[in-house]
Amino acid sequence: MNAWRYRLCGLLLGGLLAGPAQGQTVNYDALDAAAQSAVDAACESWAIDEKAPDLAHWMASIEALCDAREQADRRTPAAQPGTPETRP
Amino acid sequence: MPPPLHVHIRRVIGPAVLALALLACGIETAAAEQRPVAGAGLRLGAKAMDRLRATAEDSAPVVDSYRKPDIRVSGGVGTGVAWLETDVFLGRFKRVSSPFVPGMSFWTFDEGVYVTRQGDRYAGRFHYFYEDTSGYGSDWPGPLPYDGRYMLVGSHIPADGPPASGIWAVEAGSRPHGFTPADQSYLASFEQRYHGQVARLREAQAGSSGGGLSFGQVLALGLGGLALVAADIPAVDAVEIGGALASDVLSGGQTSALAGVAAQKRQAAASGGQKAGAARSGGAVTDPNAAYRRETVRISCPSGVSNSIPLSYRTQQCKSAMIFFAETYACNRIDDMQRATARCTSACGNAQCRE
Repeated sequence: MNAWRYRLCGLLLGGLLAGPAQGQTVNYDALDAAAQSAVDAACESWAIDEKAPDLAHWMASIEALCDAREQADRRTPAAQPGTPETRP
Repeated sequence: MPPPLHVHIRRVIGPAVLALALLACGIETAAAEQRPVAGAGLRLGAKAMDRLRATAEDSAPVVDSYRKPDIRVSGGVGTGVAWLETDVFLGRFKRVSSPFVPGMSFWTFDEGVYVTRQGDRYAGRFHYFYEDTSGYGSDWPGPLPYDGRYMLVGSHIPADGPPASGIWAVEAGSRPHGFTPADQSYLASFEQRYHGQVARLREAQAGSSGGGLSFGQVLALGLGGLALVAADIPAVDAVEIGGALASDVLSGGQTSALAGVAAQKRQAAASGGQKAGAARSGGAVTDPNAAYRRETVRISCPSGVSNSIPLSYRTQQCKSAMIFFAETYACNRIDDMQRATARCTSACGNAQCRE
């Protein structure tokens, strides 16, 4: 009986803890140039990999930005004339 | 590409481990005080439920205030992460010396993302301003500052909601708190209080041509990713810069209005003339997409000065947002900048009205 109780409790707690940490989808293009550049700096930081365990609580919020950046990169045709280059 | 290992840890193992840890750390005891009701499954006592809720709400680990940041220095630039009790900053750091206390210097946020425990993010360029602590000694070991103030130029990206661009003020310390949108009056009083450091920032961002710029304009240039000092403009007034900035930003870089202003100024300086012209677009550019409409609008500011700004748009909504954006930047309406970028995002899908 106790085992089932703990399993249920674990599920509840897991849901509660995981919920707020999930980052909502971000539109990278909706960010101004300063924010885009800052997201680039954060997502390219060595710390994002090497300090991942220490950043676990915030990782979903950070990853949402990095994922958005990656998607924007895929959407942007490299040869489109007139497209401002915001990243190296 | 498969997600990295830490993603799996967070998504799969992390919550389970945390939950088990919580159980091991006390929920078990609290739950045991409540007798289970036959056939009704688990039933926690009030004390256990309170603890459960509190733990869930406070799930961000509170880091020791004195935990040193992990900063790696290469070529004078620091990169890494700083823990600020329940928040983190990830990105670049820069070393800033105190103008008040000889020998005092701290690592300060430069460019990166500040993430709160609730998942709010502030992304952009941070500018740090020292408080005058020369009157009282300090044995603060650093390496981050314990007081002073940051101005952030960039975006607030809430955990749940659309981002907002603008200029934000926040107190530095063991945990910067209270990111506040900086309006024109705030910026004016800030400039008065930190005038020496503001002057240095103006010089760094705008060089000798920045004399006529307000503090807000200097900061607002950052929203477009511009530093006038790189444009090498001999002397220019704020209205010209605002108009040129709006032209360049709205055309998605197709015009070179700032460069045009620079060339015009250099030419005027060379010929001994001082005539100041309006910001010009970079001339005709072949539009690769026939769906775009091109138009030049004239923006008139309350000061009486006007600017011609080229627009390239596909929808009327985006055009309206562009005009509002152009007026805001050209006329230096700091208070409207956040609204202008919000309108651009809503109408054009881009904070700077680039469709």
